[in-house]
Amino acid sequence: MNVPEVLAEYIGEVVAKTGQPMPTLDQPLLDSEGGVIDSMSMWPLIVFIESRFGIAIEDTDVMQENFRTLRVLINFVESKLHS
Amino acid sequence: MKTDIVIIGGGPGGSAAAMYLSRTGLRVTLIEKAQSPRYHIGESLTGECGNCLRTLGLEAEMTSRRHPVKYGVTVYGPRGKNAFWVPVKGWRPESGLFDTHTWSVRRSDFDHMLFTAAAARGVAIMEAEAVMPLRNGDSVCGVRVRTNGGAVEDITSEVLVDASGQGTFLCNAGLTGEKLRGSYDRQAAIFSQVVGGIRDPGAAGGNTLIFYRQKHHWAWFIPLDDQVTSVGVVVPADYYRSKNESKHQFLLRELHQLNPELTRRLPQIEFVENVRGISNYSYRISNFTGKGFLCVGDSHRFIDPVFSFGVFFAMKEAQYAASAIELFFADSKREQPNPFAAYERLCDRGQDNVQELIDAFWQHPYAFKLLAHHRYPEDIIHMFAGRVYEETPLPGLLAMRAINEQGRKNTMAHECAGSIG
Repeated sequence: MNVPEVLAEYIGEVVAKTGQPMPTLDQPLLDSEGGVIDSMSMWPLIVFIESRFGIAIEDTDVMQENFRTLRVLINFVESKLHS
Repeated sequence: MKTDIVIIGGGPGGSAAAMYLSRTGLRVTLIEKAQSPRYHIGESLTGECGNCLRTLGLEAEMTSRRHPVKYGVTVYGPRGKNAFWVPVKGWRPESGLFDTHTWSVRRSDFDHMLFTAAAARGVAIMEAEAVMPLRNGDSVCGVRVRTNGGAVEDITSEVLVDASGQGTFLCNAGLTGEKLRGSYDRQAAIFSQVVGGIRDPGAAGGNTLIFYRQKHHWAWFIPLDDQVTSVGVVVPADYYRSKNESKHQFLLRELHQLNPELTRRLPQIEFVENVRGISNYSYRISNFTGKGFLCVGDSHRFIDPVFSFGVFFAMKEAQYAASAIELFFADSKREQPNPFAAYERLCDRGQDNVQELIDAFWQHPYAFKLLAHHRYPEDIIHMFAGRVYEETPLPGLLAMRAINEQGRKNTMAHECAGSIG
């Protein structure tokens, strides 16, 4: 499964609904830093990741450190897949 | 003068302790220096705080005084979106959560009501200032007071209850552990009262509203009667200073700008009270009980007020303190080095648990909302319903603790990496 592609596509869909430009790999994802993911869109994102990749996102995984940018998120999901 | 129990301070903690103790038949003296009730913030009561008032038999009086009825709190996220609703619920071990309500109060009225009610229940009232505790080694055997007439008098007691609030009477006298500053540090609160704020419709009109801008920067909107609403902003003290505005200008501008939903709620702002300001910080004091003394409420700990737990802690701890004191008098031997050690552990547990909730709210907003909205929504309601003292924590609380712990680890790893790199 191509993690970067799947995640970029999902974020692209979120972005499309808001009219914001698509973030680059290293631009902020979270709204506290100007990105598109706010606390309401965090839950659907997590449900999507869990179902699409078949991994469990623990309570302690939902730290800003793991969702800061698309690149960070891709690394996080890939490390979960390999653990 | 000699009494069984002397209580320093006639705020909610002192008056509630006096009322609970008045049921035991012990002689209680309540000392308060202020002659008229003072202005105070901390106006929104939690659900369990409402329950404390019911157990004191004060529900009818609360209703007749027409304090706004509070069914819950709405916390608005940045830009006025993502509102987070916490309903007021009661809880019983046998039947679980049930619907109830609490109140928001004008503190001068409320504190006066409690103080008067304590007097009516046979508590001896003394208008005096506590000067120093009377000591016998490490134990306390009373207090020296100066009456409003200027006379100095010693009152001996078996137990002294420090309910002096942020005055931290016993800590200042060196009887407790030191006052350690907490994570809610160097904050400024600027506040006043307005008329004409737009409330939620109908019965929801008495609800408390909290507006979040960013970490440690928020505002409150608390109805005080049919017309008047308490409004205030809490910001980092450095931010307040950097604005270089009068308190009045600062509050006016912040109320306009802080959150679009707050702007909508206050189409025009007419202050009907002075604009006041206090600088504030959280603290905790260890070893706040011992032979002959114990502390309740702010006299041993003050935490970030964002979730309105202040009066709750004062009144709940007063209730626990009264039970502990009753047990102490029932024990004929009284040989324990600290008869109130269990009370102290209980208070610490409750405040630690609420601190976890608040830390998660500020430090990990995404995780907090995920837990509060989706994974453990009931547990948060339970905590507001007063379930913060149990030995086995609720799963939602354990999750909050885990994310705070993970956050501390991440910060440490980050700092280590920084110092190596």
